[in-house]
Amino acid sequence: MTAGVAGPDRPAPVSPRAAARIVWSLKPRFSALAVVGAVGALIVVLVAIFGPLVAPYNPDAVNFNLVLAPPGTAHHLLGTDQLGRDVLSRMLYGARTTLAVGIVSTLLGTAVGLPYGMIAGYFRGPLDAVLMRIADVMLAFPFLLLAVGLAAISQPTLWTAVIALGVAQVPQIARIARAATLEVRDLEYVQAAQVNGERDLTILRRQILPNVLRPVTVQTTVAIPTAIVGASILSFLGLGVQPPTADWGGMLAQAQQYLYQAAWLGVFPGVAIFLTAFCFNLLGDGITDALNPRGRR
Amino acid sequence: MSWAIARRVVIALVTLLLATIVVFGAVHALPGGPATALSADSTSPAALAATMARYGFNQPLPVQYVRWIGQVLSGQLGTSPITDIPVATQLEQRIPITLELGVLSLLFAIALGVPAGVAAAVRPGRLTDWVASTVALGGLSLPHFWFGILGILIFAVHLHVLPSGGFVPLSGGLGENLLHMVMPVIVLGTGLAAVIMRQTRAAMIEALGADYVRTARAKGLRESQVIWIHALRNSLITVVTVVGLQLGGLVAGVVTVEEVFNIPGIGQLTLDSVYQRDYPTLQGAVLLIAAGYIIVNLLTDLSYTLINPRLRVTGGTA
Amino acid sequence: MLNTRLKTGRSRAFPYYLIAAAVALLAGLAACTSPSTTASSSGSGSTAAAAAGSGNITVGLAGAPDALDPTTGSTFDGRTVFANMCQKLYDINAQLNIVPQLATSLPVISDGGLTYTIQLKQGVLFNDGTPFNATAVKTTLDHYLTDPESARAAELHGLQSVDVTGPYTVVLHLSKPFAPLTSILADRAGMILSPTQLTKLGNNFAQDPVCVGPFEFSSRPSLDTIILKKSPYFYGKADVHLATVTFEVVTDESTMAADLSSGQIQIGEEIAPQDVQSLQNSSSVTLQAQNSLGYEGLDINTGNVNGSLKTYGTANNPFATHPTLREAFELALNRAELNKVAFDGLYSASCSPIPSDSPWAVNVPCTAQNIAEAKKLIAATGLKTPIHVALTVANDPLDLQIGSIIQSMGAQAGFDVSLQPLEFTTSLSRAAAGQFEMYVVGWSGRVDPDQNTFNDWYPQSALNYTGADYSALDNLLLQARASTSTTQRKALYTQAVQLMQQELNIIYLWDPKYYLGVSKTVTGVQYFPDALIRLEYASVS
Repeated sequence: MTAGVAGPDRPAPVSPRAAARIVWSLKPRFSALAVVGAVGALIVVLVAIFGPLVAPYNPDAVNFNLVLAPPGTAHHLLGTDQLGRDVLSRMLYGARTTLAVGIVSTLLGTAVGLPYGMIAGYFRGPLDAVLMRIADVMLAFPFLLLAVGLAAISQPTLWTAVIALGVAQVPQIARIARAATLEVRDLEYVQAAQVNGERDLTILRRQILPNVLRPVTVQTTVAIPTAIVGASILSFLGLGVQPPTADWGGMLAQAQQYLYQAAWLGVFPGVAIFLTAFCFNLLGDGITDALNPRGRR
Repeated sequence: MSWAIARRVVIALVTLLLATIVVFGAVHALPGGPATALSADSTSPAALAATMARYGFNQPLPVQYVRWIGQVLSGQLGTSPITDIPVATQLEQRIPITLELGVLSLLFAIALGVPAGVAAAVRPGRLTDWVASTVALGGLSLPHFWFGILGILIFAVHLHVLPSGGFVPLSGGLGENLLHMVMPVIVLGTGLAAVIMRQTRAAMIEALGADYVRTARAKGLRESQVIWIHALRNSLITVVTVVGLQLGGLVAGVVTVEEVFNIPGIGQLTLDSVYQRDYPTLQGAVLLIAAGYIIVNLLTDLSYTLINPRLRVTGGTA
Repeated sequence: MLNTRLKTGRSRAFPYYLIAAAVALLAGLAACTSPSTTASSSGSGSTAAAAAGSGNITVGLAGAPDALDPTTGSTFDGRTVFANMCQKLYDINAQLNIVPQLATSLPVISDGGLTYTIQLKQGVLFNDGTPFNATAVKTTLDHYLTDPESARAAELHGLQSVDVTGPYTVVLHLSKPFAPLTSILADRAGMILSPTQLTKLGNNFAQDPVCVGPFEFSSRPSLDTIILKKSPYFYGKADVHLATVTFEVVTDESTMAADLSSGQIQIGEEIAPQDVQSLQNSSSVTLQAQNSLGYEGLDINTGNVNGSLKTYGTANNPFATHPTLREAFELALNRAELNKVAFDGLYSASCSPIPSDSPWAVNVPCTAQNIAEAKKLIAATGLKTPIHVALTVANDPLDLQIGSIIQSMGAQAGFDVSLQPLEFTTSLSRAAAGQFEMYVVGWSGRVDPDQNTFNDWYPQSALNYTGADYSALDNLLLQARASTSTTQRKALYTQAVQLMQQELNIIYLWDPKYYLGVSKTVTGVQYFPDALIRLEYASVS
């Protein structure tokens, strides 16, 4: 049995029985769970976009007479926090911030990592070696320390969090892009294009990119929930979005102070982060399965 | 073959050297210095300046860098200007703690993830698979610091069955030591278990569909042998590689878990050193983390090529 | 090409042994190199059980002590550790009076405040067996005065020389009168170091400090853990009951409360107001409260343009160019409400650097909130509202909350306050350099009022972040520290605080209260208004 060679539009063949078994086993899971994930993710995105329009209060409006009111209090469905701000409104506005940091940082990482890896894989040689060593150094640095450093140097803001999370994604995306580039770079049709005198940029765009896009897209969709959770970790440690801007990680950080008096303050944002990441993960899995029918993730 | 190994080792060393420069530069880019952290309750800038001069912090950066590298190469890591404790002593005290946390979490993740992944792969699409995969996905999506805080609230504060944090060394009793590790390990290991489960499942499904498995079955081997000996063995290659890549996320996890549970490990030391601008300690700790990463990557790379000679052709970094 | 992986599965034995070996190695490493520090629960050696003491307690500290050398010590929590292992010439008691500790009586002051004669206790040994005497005191004080890294030199104002006039008598000679001197000798500058150890270790004294104390230094394996054990040399060892004391740093307040509740630590300091309620209801923990000696407030940068030690100018913010705006801002604030929202009403609103229950308290009324008046003052300046100002806060939850409250109060009067959270050390660095407009900051406080005021208001002092330079105030402060009459000093400080309330470089907001959580199994803990945890007579059951 020949393994065959993978090309941009031909998934590698396997024995028909194995393929059938795998595809069959995935199908019910694919439709049920991925749809749930897609719907959930869509809901979160809608909340992020439109939530602030329906929020009953200004998320920064303080009310010192109604501090730490429990959920179910009149006019405050989810209660109020330590400054009397409405938790529901803060949750709605927080969706926007949390999601934005997660998605923008991932897009940033992809925008940088994709060309990075493609260039390294295409040109090989010393350029490749240097680029990948730099990527290794980046990989050796936990994004957390980078965020701490950035936060201390300037001032912790939403953007330092985005940059830290984005930079953290670059090495992995670059590696995947590079591997995918390596897969096709020596193929006949690419070599034919080179012989024909086509410019490298054109080759990269036309021949290499399509093959790279698929695994990178997979990685990106998987990376978004990681970035969302990562953003909440940064906020938790005081390194990300700063108060009074509402964001779920920051709300969790503040809630930790009130574990005894108002344990519920930590439940809502935590559950929200969890469910958002979960839905995006489900969606990511669904997309992965769609693009890789053999089930290889 | 030894040339490939030597080449990788050299690359690792070069990366490490680059890392030291980045560490040094980044640390010194932080505003303020060790004297600043001490100045809150102090009224004597001249005295602080004299202490900093004794540590050589007033010399130009390249000079300080060379001195530091020289120290590191001769096995010295310097002394903290804030507490006068040698950096090496602090690291020595903390490495075993973080190691214990990391190793136990890894073992927990493997013990949970591999069997779950195998169970899911053996009956794909059925209830077992569905439940295990969903739970694994949930584990991946969980913000572990939140998980930890909830755990403390429930098990330590309300139920009093587990300690709320801290660390008890082995000399204080194995039982106490492990009891303090229960919640941190579960919190830290859950995410990793999820990754391992998913990777095992995916690799096992591939392996179970491969030729040699058909051959083994045709030969009449028992199904359990097929699964556990032949298929699993080959799946573990993928799993090991992916886990190696995941260890990066583990560091962020370790830092947060050590913060939430107040465990005196390397993660907490690093974070505290940043806030205190304790340059020598921070440099030493970050260098240690970076070196650990690089070594783990190297080992993963090496074991990958050792196991599979054909992959040496592609370079193995994919 | 990647598919070739599938085909090779058949033959190679998977190196399970590699994995097993790696795990075993790591586990072995972790086990064998386990930290050797233990909190041992039994006394040392073969001496009688009573002499050795029994029991260990773990004390949770809210911050990490710096180097354990009284010469350079600069942290609040360092002083707590010292309180148990380094006795001083003088100490304070529960009523904030200065009482002799290593001295036998208060100093005899003569020559118009230029000569202090101090009689020393006899029969005292340092914790390495070296005899305590006048020569040892002179050695220490000379060291504090002359060592270039000594942070005590700046505190021992005017001290020129120390003479030994008898085996247990020292005479201090000052170049100018300095009334707070005795109180300074009741703090780190009065801690006497073992001359033997000082000679042996010099600048590395912190690695194994030796003084006179009920406990001696045993080890400090890391920044966050300090272990002391009962001293066999201490003159009062018959009344010392504990065998060892372990200090653990627990920076997070809710962790401190959780650890106390679960019995992880037996004593926890600086319990946050949010946790006070539940700990008060706890069956295993009692709470003691003390008013602090310090203050917390709002620094407003009026003149710090180059750094607190350099020449001052006019800062680039509305408060500096229009002084009445500072008054307007104070009128917008409601101290009682701040206390209620942020601290559950547990702290005390304050508008003075001297706490209201100190023997030096000044009787100056606080400005009440008056939004209308604030708006009038703003209108009178002719500036466009809202007035944009920046408030720097450290980015921990409590400071952020305070910042938010101040922000919303300021908004009511027409100030648009933007919060600038900074990492704590960065904020200190910026404050000292003058790179701020408003900054929420505090001071842990000392017994003598001079120590709560001089360094903040006198020009070119390290802690004068706001760039204050008012000659009338400067004269008052100089006079007050030179005068030896308590009545006169009180009058001078009253005038000084009145001036401070006019200039408002610092809007004093509240005095914290320190809540100490003590497990019910522990008795005999002394907790005075200086918030240092004294364990000399403590015991655990």
